[in-house]
Amino acid sequence: MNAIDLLLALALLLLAGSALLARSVQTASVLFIAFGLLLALVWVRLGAPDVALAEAAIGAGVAGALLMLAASEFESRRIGGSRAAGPRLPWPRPQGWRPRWALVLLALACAAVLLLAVLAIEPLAGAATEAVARNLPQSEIAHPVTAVLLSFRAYDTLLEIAVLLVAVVAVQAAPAPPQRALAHDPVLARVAAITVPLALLVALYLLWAGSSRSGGAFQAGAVLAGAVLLARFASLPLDPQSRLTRPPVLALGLALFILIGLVAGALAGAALGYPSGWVKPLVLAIEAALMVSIGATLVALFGGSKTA
Amino acid sequence: MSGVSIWLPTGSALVLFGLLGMLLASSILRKLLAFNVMGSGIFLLLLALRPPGPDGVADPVAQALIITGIVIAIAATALGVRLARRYHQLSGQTELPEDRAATRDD
Repeated sequence: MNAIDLLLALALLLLAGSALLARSVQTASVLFIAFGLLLALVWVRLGAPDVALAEAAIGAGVAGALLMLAASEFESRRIGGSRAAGPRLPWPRPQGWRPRWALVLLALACAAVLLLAVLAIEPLAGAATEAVARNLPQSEIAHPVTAVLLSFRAYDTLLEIAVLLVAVVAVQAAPAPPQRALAHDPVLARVAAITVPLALLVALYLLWAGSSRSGGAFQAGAVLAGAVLLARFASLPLDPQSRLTRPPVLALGLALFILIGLVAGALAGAALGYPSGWVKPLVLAIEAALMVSIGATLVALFGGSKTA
Repeated sequence: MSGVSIWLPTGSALVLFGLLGMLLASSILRKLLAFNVMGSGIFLLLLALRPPGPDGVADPVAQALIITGIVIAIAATALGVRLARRYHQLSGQTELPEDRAATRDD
């Protein structure tokens, strides 16, 4: 049991180190995706499958793909442009090391203080777990993580959606450089034709499962975004992207969350509360709207449509 | 819970790696990658301090906080990547002026 943990921890550190030291940013992005997938395994080991799903879909998938997209864009511009390309230096640049020892020592000191601090904290096994389990019947949501996200700490989730909306509005305000048209790839088109419907089904399943077991709007939204992006890369005839990333769709989740939070909250006597008996349909409605908005947001974060 | 304590040094080491990457790398994209590694280390510390109970399920509050954190991190990363792309489009550079000056001086 401990041997597996030790192996996982070592592999995790090795992947993180090699991602940071990789020769090109593209290689680094691929290593980062591998790092994220391994971290998802660690979350499963630590008993947090909901986090594992979010990490694999959003932390590893979306973040890695965003970095890789930008890196290949920079690279193609550098090769295609007239600007003289310098020799490709591995990072860290050898000559850059001498005066930076102070920084390295400072970072080491910070990490040492952090380690000492966390080692001094007495791990609280199950304190909040018990509190959640005690109040779970009252919340009428079977899955504890969903209950925390949408009932006990609904303000957090509401503000998180607001942050996501602000980020996507800011991203859309900075116009993306035009992307070159993707060549038609028959293999990718075939794979996508099978994968995209399957991914849509998985997204709906994750949404429905969220009320009783692991899953939920965030994971479902990420899978939805993956399906739309795959359809786009494979040039499938369905391209809902241009309509999907319009502001009303992006804001739908937040708007419905606030509306239900106020109306149902007024009936229940507390903002963001739910009247008893109506919890499951209301939570599912919020989660469905959130899934669409999160999916659209993640698609929008990747930037302009094909024609842009 | 001896199995959990191994994640405390691991999380601290990830924070260290991320910190070093953010301080030493000159490319903006590498800094963003390091920022994500550092965030992962912090999430790992957060959950390692709330070990799973006898039923093997980790603290739901910590799980919800980490899921929120992952989504916020992707929002910040996406904004950073878009700004880096715009900066590269306008200036042709992948590094910030301060970092370029620092590497030239060496």
